[in-house]
Order: sequence, then structure tokens, then C-alpha cells
Amino acid sequence: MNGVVKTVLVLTLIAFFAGLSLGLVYGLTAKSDSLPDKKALVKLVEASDYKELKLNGETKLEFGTIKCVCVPVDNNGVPIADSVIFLSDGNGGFDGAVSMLVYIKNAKVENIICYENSETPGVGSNALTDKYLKRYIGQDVSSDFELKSSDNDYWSKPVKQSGHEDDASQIEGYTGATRTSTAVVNALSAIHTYYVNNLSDLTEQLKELK
Amino acid sequence: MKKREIALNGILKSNPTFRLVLGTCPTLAVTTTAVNSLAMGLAVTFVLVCSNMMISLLRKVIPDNVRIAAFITVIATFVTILQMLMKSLLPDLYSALGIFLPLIVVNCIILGRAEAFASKNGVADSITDGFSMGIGFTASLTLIGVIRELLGSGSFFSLSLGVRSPMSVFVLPAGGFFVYGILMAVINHITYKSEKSRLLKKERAE
Repeated sequence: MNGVVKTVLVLTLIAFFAGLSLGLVYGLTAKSDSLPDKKALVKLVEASDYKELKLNGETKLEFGTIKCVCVPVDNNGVPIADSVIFLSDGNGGFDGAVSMLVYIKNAKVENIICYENSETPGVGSNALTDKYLKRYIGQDVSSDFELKSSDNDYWSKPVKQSGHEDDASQIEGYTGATRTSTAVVNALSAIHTYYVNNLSDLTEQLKELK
Repeated sequence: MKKREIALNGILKSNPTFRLVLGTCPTLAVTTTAVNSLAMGLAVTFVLVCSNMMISLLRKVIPDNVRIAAFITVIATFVTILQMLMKSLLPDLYSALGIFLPLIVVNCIILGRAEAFASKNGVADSITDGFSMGIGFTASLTLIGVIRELLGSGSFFSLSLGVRSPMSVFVLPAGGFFVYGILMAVINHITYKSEKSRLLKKERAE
């Protein structure tokens, strides 16, 4: 009995001190802000630096989660006019949420890249290439995003739904990557909802930073 | 075993890669470039030294029947600490090493030295052994990485040498096996010759 007690005690103490040291190192190395990786931000929009806006923190919405809102700033620390960057996780991806980094200028999508994803390489990932994501550039973030339903005749090709080729409010899906396309659109829908609900706060914060 | 013997043991005579043939999985997987090889070697050295030190300190306290579980807990703690430090300070290398960083936990070299040496020897000797094995592993990996990168990508530590048509098979798994096998044969031949001449000298002296 004494042997068992000693064994349990020793293992508990080892685990306790292991956990303690892990917690200590985590506390020292964890990033204090939720700003995305600077390399990704530079790829999205080149700026001297990026400042996080302290709004509502991480916000869960119907279609996704807004993880971070930041602004690109110039050499003097002044935000670049009418520019906001959103890090948005869109629900409904094939293997979890798809994280999109979106640069909004004058309420329109100026640039968009995929920040993180676990989608199937060669299948879902086709809907996350820069070539496909370009179709979102110019879209107005003050109106909602909606994915056109694909016609599934071909795989791995963008599709136009018949009768809706000229409908600019709808986004073309990527056949074979419908769920990933949906997650991207959900990320943008979350940004739309957040943008519309927090426009006054956003404008105020941007004014304060100038 | 004398301290000098312990310090030199892991570098050639008991080299974990070429002589003990341990840690073959990361050896083949990360040695596509010299920088990644060096980084992996140094990462393993850090974990070896720290885990050997800790296991040696606790060797009289850990009950024999749960020693493997205790060793793994200690090793996993240091690997996780290393991961957090690399993610924060060296994010590019952290991404390059990928899954092979957390897999250091189950690297045979670390558990093997913990079981064979650290659990039976003092702290100073265990640290020396960990360092020696780590340096031996790092040197082996770097040598393989340099050769594979030179022949397979035409570069040296990411510096392009202007080679027009490198033999890309050397950055593929098959090429890894070629290089590993040939180097193992060469090093074992050198070690065998050196051991033979040492024994002859000893016989003559007697």
C-alpha cells in the first residue's frame, strides 16, 4: 500500500511541477495581443505597422467569429485613410472554420487572403487560392454576401449558375469545394454584420488614432 | 566511465545516427536542408541535456515500475517548452520543422539515454552524456543535410550555388536513404579501422 501511495505521490508531483513550468513558459511567450502574423498582414496590405483596435474583443456571430480588427498605419503611426483589416473565422468549412484576413478600404474589399485553414489540399484548398479569392475584391462589405449554389456538372472549376451570371450580389462557388467556399463567404458575412453593427465605434476609434 | 570518454562517446564511437541507428525518422525527414537539420539537432540537444539532468536528479525518487511514464512526462515537458520558445522566437524554423518538433518526445535517443545512462549516473555525467549525444546527432544530421541540399537543390545553407540541374532525387525520401546508408558505411568503416589500430597498439604495448 505504501508503495502505491509513494508511486502516486511521485507521479503527481512530477506532473504538478511539469504543469507549473509549462504555465510559466506559456505566460512568458504567449502573445499579449491577438494581432495576426505580421508576414500575413504585409502580404495583405503593405504598411509600416499595424495597430489593433480595442472594440469588443473576439466576437461570435451567426456565420463566424471576428477574432481581430486592426488598421494599417504609416511611418508616423497615423492610420491609412478609410482602411480596416479584419481577421474573421468563417463557419462551415470541411474541417472546421476557415480563417480569412480581409482588407477593407472605403467599405469595399480591397484584398483578401486565407490566414489559416484545415481544408483538404487539392480539393477545398482550391477555393482558397489567391486566383479564386480575387473574385471577392471590390465587393461592398455594407451589403451581405451570398454564395451562389453550384451546378455540380464539373469538378474543380468555378461555375456560373444559369440565369445569375450578371448578379453581382452573389459569389460564384467552386465546385468540389462548396463547403470551403461557404466558409469563406461566411467569414465575409460575419465581417458585414460586424461592420454594420459597429460602424460608429469603428469610426470613433479611427479618429482617436489620428 | 571517465568524463572525457563520456564527452566523446556520442560524437563518434556511439554516434546515435550512424552507430546506434536511433532517431532515423527525423533524420530522414528534416535533412532536406542544412538549416533544418541543424535546427532539429540543436532542438534535440536541448531536450537531451535538460531531460538527462532532470531524470538524473530524480533517479532515486522515481519508483522503478513507473519510470518510463515519469521519463516521458519529463521529456514531454521539455519538448513543449522548446515548442513554445521556438514558436515565439523562431516562427519560421518552427513552421519548417512542423510535426517533427513534437515528435522529439518519442525520439528513441532521448528515452534511450534516459533509461541507459541518466537513470543510473550522476547529474554532471548525465548532462555531459546528453550534450555529447546531442552534438553527435546534430553533426550527423547537419552532414546529411548539407550533402542532400548540395546535391538535391544546389545550395549550401540556403545560399544558391548557381547549379543549373540539381539531382532532385536527393531531397526525396529515396535520396535520403542513399545518403544515410553511404555515410553510415563510411563512418562505420572509419570507426572499425580506428578501433582495430587502437587494439593492435594495445596488444603491442602489452
